[in-house]
Amino acid sequence: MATTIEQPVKTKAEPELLGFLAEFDDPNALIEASKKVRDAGYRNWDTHTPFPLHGIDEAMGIKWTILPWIVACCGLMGGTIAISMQWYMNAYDYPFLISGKPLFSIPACIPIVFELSVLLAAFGAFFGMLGLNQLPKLYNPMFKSEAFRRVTNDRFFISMDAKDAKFSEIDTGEFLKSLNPTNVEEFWSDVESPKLPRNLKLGLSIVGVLMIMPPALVAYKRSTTTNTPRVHIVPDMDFQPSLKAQNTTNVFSDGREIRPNIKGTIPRGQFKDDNIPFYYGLKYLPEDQDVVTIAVQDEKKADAKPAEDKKADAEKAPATKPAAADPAAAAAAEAKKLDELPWVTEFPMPVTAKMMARGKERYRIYCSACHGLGGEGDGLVTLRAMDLQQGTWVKPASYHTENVRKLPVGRLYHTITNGVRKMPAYGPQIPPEDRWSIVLYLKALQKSQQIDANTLPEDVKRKLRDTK
Amino acid sequence: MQTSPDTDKKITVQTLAELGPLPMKVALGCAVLLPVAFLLGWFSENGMTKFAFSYLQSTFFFLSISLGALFFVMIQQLTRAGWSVVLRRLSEFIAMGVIPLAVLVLPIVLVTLAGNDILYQWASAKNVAEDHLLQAKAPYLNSGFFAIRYLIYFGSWIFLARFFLNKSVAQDANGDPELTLLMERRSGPALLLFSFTLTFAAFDFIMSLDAHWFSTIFGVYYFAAGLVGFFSFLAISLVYLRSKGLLQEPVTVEHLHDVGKLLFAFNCFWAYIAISQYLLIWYSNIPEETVFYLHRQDHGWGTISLILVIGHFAIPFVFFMSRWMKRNPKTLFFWAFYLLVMNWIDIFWLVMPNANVGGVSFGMILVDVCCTIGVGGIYVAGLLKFAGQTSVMPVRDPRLEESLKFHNI
Repeated sequence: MATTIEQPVKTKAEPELLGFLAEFDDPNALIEASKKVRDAGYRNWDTHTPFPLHGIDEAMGIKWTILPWIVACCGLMGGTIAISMQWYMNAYDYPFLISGKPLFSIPACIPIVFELSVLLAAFGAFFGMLGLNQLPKLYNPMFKSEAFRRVTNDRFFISMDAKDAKFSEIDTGEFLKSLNPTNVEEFWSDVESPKLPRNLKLGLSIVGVLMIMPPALVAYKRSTTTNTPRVHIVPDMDFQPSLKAQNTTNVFSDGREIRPNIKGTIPRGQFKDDNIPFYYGLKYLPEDQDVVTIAVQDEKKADAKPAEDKKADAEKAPATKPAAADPAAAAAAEAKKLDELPWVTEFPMPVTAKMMARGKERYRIYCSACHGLGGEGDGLVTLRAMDLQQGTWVKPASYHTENVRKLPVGRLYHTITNGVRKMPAYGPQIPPEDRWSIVLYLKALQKSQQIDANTLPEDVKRKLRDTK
Repeated sequence: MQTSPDTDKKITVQTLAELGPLPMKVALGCAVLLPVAFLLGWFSENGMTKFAFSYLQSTFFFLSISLGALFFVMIQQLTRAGWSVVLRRLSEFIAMGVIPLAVLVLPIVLVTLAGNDILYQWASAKNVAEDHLLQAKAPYLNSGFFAIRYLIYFGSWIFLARFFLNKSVAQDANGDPELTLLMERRSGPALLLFSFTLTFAAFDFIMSLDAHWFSTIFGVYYFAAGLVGFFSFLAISLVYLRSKGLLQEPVTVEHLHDVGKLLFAFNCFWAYIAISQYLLIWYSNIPEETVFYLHRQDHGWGTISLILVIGHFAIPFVFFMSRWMKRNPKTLFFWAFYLLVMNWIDIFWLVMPNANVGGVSFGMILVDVCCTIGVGGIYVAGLLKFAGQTSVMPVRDPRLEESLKFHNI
């Protein structure tokens, strides 16, 4: 046996005395004994009974539980979290006005505060109880005692823990015997590490494999293609009966799914007649508006004219056609009409440096492509169109001609809004404030090209000379 | 069910008559304040309106206590509760208060039947003719139907209160456990009858003071208020009777603790119902609903409303939650009395703003307090009369032993 490989011998730990168990067969005897143990000054001990025993708390000298305080703290914490969360979400991070109530409104907070307080108080009670009872505890060395099994049936026990400061192997044993128990025994710590049973290991492995399968299946399906139709898990969500824009339907008599504005109503935020200078660039709306805007005018006509006048409209339409046959004359007539409109000459809003900066930025985005950075009608689009000699291209006007410089700001605003010649209407793209900002920048551009250099101060002149 | 073998030998029969003639004298003395309140009203501006509303407020304050008692008796039977047996007879006495109150409420019904609109605007034909909403509600809110409903409500309550007291007293004599089973069986349908009559009575007598306003939760609100009133009244009575040597042994700190717990719980329930009603109205912001709270924000009523929020809920919630407060008879008495006062203010707040006599005034409160003490005198005298020579505890109830040995933990 000389060649025996030396196995590392698993030395069994010395079993350690953990305490004593004293057995009683009568609850009253247990209470009497408990009083004696309490008065003897032991702290680390417990009683075990098959049912709740009135008076055992007093007999053991157990202090009133601190659980209510834990619950109260958790409840208060829940309330605080709820109220600060609602303040942060509703009033600070994402202010959202709901039915005209204040952003941070106590009555609206009450239900959430209530719910969270109750929730956290319940958590406090549940987990606090588990914690104070030192649960979950899967194993206790006392379970090894044969006698202790009757604790769930008809026996009553006192257990003395060896960790107690007053505990001593001989004295405590003697003391317990003096309490007249039916039996006293010791309980010892385990010497072997508890192993998991084989069946449990197997079961857990199977459960683990089963749990991995659904996510694995999902991952596989998501990373591969298939020629079978997709699975509709919730068909109601995939095929909704709701109408889609621009489709036809037989729900409404006109066959349109998208609904036109209701007659006689103005969509929210589209009522413009309360600030005519700002929205139209006009001092007031003239009686005959057909040159101002096409869209607005059409709406107004449809609203103003009763149904009987439809016929008159129909007759009028062919009458305008001959005018279109002579485009030059029509254009001249339109230009004349435009000149006569009451354009505003002042900005209908305070002019600020911020507005100028905004105007410059917007001008460079929307206008400079054709009109050029300096407004001379030499934008990149224009240059390229000229290069290619595109016949239909109309060269944009330079802002620095006498004609354009004379135009009132209202007219410039109108041009941006509704377009002119080849220039499309920018009204739908640029909000009115930005259109006015562009007009302001445009006026500044015009001024920059028409100033007499002698009127400039010396340092500005030098700066202009030095700047390329 | 077995009657416990030894209880009926050990228990000595005590009655409220052992208190001597003093309580009855004090109660009848207090009753004198009712005519005083009437005279105070007679000689002040809008005095009759003030008195009429105060009278309604006082009767419905005590009615809420008696209805709470009736509910408690029935729910104890329904749940086969053991712990509360020693308190049940006292609750049965308090429930009998509906009989004097039926008489006291009768003038209100008669005045309304005569077409007087001092309390209810819908009672006068002229008001109804001018008001579209009152016309729409006229099939329900008319004085004839109102009087019929008064008979139904008080008839049902008197019937229920008498039924539960009589059966329980009969058991004192013969110790028949079948009577307990009978009461258990009857308490389910009785509770249904009770909840409907209470809800509609609250609608009819208090909510219809402002006939334009309505709240479906109002009946529950009055019910919650009544339970707070009842448990306060019960706790006060128990502490008082124990100090006079009655029920001293049977009713222990454990029972007081449970009464305190129920008082605390129903006070929270009251707050929950109150905020539910307020929150829905506040959120929806519909003018015909919010007008109820608008009246209760102006002319000094805002202060009363705040007193209710802080005094009726916040303060007792913090201080009355503790176990010690409920287990100490003195502190329990204090908080019960405090919450009874708060309950009075609550009913005051429900009824009086509808009087429209220009805000909270000292005169109004004086008339109201006198009226309440006066009605209370008659009420307590009635309770003592009904208690008479009857034992203050159901001495041969089959669950009595369980109640005597009741221990919280």
